Amino acid sequence: MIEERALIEKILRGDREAYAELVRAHQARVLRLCRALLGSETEAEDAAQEVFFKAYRSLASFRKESAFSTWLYRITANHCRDLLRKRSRQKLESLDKLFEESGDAAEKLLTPSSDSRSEREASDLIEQILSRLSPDERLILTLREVQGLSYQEMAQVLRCSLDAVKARLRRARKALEEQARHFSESRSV
Amino acid sequence: MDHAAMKDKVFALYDGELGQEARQEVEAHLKGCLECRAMYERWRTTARAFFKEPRPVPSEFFVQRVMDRIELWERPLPAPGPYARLRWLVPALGLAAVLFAMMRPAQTQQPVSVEMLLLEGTPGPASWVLSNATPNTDQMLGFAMEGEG
Repeated sequence: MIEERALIEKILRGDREAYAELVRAHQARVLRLCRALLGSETEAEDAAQEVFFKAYRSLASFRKESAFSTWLYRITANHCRDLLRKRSRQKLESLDKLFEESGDAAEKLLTPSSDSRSEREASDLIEQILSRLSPDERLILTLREVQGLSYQEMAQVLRCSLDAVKARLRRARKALEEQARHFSESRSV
Repeated sequence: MDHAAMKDKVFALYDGELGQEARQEVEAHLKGCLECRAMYERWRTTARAFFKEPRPVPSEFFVQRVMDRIELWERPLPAPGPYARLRWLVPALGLAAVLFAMMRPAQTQQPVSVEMLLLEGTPGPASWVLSNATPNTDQMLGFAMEGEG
């Protein structure tokens, strides 16, 4: 972390190439979060680039009390959340049609001894179900389940209290389980 | 501890957020509570199914694209040409021309007749002067009438 702070000082003094080191150090983390939130690899790459660009532009405003990774997560979370909100406004697909087509697959996805199903179909279905969550629900689940952030880290990224993190996480988990259940129940009706 | 509070702790156990004592307490509870155990297992299965993201492979190409974007953003704008400072003159001249056209007074002219133009040899407006020799009657008509009469 001390090295990272020294690197940031160098960048702020005008050494643009030093920023490449920061990008190398954090690209996997940022890309992973973007991919988990947005679902598409191409979108995730574009979003990750935009995140690093935004971070460079506002590097002077980075307060050194928190870790640089926390600050970067915050920028990533806000950027992806905006993209998800735009996307949910454009969503035209009928929920019923989605349930009808994918209910059986959703059931198989959640049973421990599921049939062998092509990875791509399963991954499409996962993305469909995750896209039914609100951007905030998807974000907090991703921070926890994909990025492995602790409650404290999530509170710093999301700028809320620990209790708020626990409550949001609880609601998001419940929402995901309900969405997955709706998919499987629609086939059994 | 009431059951609702214990449910929260079950998730905290799953998330690795409990200290040693709290962890032992919840694990003991899970052994005896079917509902909480089912909830724990259900979430573990769901999380495994939904959140198995592979780690992205670091890419130097990605780093280069970010740095290229930053360089483009920081590139200084091209210096203005020698006439850039006079660009304001074009709309100013246009406006002046319009104002000038609107303010020019309309010239008053005398109406010009065909006689004026044909009978007067001098440039400018001509005048039509009747000659005293010109009869008041039509000569041809008079001749014709006299012939018959």
